[in-house]
Amino acid sequence: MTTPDQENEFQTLLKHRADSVEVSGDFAPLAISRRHRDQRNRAVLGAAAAVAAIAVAVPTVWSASRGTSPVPALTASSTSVPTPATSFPTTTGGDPSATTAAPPGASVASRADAYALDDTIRFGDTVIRLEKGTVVENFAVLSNGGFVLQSHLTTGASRSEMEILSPAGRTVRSLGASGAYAVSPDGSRVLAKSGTSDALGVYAADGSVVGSRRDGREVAAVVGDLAYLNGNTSSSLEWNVATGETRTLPAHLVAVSPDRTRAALQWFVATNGSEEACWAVVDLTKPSFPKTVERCGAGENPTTFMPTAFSDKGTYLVGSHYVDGGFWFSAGVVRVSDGEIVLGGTGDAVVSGWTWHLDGDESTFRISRNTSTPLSPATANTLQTCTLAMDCTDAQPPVDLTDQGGFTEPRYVVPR
Amino acid sequence: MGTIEREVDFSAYVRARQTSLARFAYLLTGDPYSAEDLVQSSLVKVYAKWDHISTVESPDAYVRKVMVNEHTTWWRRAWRRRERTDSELIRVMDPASVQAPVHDSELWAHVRSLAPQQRAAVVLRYYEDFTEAQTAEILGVSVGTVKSHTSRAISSLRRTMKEVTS
Repeated sequence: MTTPDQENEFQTLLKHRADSVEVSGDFAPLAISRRHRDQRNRAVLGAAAAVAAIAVAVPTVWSASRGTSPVPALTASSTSVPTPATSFPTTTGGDPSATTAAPPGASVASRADAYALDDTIRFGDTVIRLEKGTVVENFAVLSNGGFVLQSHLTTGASRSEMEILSPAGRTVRSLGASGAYAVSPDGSRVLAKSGTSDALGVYAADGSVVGSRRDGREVAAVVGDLAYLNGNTSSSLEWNVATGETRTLPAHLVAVSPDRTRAALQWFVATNGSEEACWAVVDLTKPSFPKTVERCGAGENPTTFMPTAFSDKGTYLVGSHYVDGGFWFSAGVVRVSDGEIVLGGTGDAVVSGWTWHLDGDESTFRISRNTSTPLSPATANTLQTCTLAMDCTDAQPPVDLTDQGGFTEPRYVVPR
Repeated sequence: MGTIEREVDFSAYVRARQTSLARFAYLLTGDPYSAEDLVQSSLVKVYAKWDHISTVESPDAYVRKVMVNEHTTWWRRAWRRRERTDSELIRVMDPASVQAPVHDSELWAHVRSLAPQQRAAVVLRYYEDFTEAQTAEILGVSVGTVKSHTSRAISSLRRTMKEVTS
C-alpha cells in the first residue's frame, strides 16, 4: 500500500527531472522529411576499385600481422579510391541482376570474414568505404556477396535506414527507414518492413522484389519462399511468397529453424508489477504447434534470454540475455532440445558486446565484444572469435570507444 | 486532408506539444539521446497516421501510446537499433542549476532501474496525471496491472529511500 506522501515524493521527482528538459529545435520538419525521404544514394566505393587501390597500401601488412597490428587509418584508403558515383551508377529502373554480381576477379564477402569498422565494410583484402559519417548499426551478408545494411549518419538529421547493397557496395534497393529485416539462412532472401508503413517486402539478393504484402505484423524470419511475420498481439503468419498462401501460426514468433520444423516464440508477461520474459520452441509439423520447450518468468528464465534466430544446423537458439542499464547486450545460446543455457548468463557468465553470430560449425562465434574493464562504461571494443567454452582470440585489434553522454556506439560490427 | 494541409496541421500540433513530448520521452528513457530518438521515431509514425489521429478526441493520449509502444519495442529488440542523432533538439539542464529534491539522484537512479512498462506506468500516473484507467488504456493492460506496477514501484522506492537515509 502506498501513501499520499510517497506518491507526492514520486510526483515531485518526476516533475523536477522533466522540468530540466528543454527543446531547442523543431521536431516537425524532421518527422515529415523522414517520412517523405527519397531513396538516398549512399556513397560507397566498389570492391573492385577498392581492391585495386588499397591492396598496395594496406592489406598485405594487415593480413600478415592480423590480430596485433593497429587498425589501418581510414584516411589512407579514402584518398586512393574514386568516388562511387562515377564507378557505380544506380540501378533504379534497370535490371538489378545485370549489375549486382561481384566484379570479375573481386573477392566476395562471406559472413565468416566480413565485418564493419566505423564507416567501412571489410573482408579479405577489400575495404568498402561507406558514406563518410555512416554508423553501421547491423548488417548481413547475402548469397551473392552483397549486403543488407542498417545504418545512420552522424551528421545532420540522422535516421536509421535499411538498404540492400551489391557485392561492390552500391545501393541496389532502399528498404525504408526505422524498420526491421531478416535474411534467409542461405542468404538468398531478405524480408524487410519499413518502420513507417505496413508494407512488407521479400527481396532477392540482387535487390529485385520477390513478393510484397501489407500487414501490421512484424518481421520474424524468412526461409526459402516462406516468410514469417510476428504477431505480438494476434497470431503470427507463414506467408508463401511464391504461391501467396498463408498459414496461421502462434503469436510472438521470432525465429524459424532452417528446416522449418521448429519456431521460437518470445513474449512478455506483465504480472506482479513487472514484465517477465518468456520464450518457447514450438513444433511446426503438428497442427496444434505444441511447445517442446518453454521457459517463462524469473524462475525459469532468470537471465531473461530472448531468442533471435536458430543456429545453422538448428541445434541452438541464439539471442541475448537482457542487461539493463547499458546499450550493449550479453550474447546467449540455449539448446533447442532442452532449453539448457550453453553460453551467457549473469555475473561472470556475461558475454558483453554489441553484435555477433554463431558460426556454421555451431561451436565458435564471432563477436564485436565489449573488452572494457570494468564493462561499464564501455571504453574498448574488440572483434573476437570465441568457442562456446569462451576460449577467445582477437580477430582484429582493440579500438577505443568514446562515451557520448552515457551512450556508446561500438566501432566493430559483426554480420548477423 | 491534402499534403500541405496535413503538414501544416501536424507541424502546429508538434510545435505546441514537443516540449511535453520530449519531457515524457526523457522520463521513459532516462537520457536525452534516447529521448530524442524516441520522439522522432514516434512522430514519424504519428505523422503517417495523422489524418486519423488528428480527428480523435485525445491525440495527446494517442501519441503517448505510440511512444510507450515504441519504447517497449526498443527494449524487446535483442538487436537494438540505434538512431543516434546529433541535432541536439533535447537539452537537459545541469541538475545543479535547478532546485533539486533531497536524494534526487538516488531516486532518479531508482526510476531508471524500473522495467520499461513499470516505468511507463508511474510516469503516466504521477507525471502525466492520467487516471489508472487512462494509464491502463495507453499501456494496453488491465487497471489491476497498473495498480500493481505503481504500487511495486513506490514500494521499491521506499526501500531505496531507507537504504539512502540509513
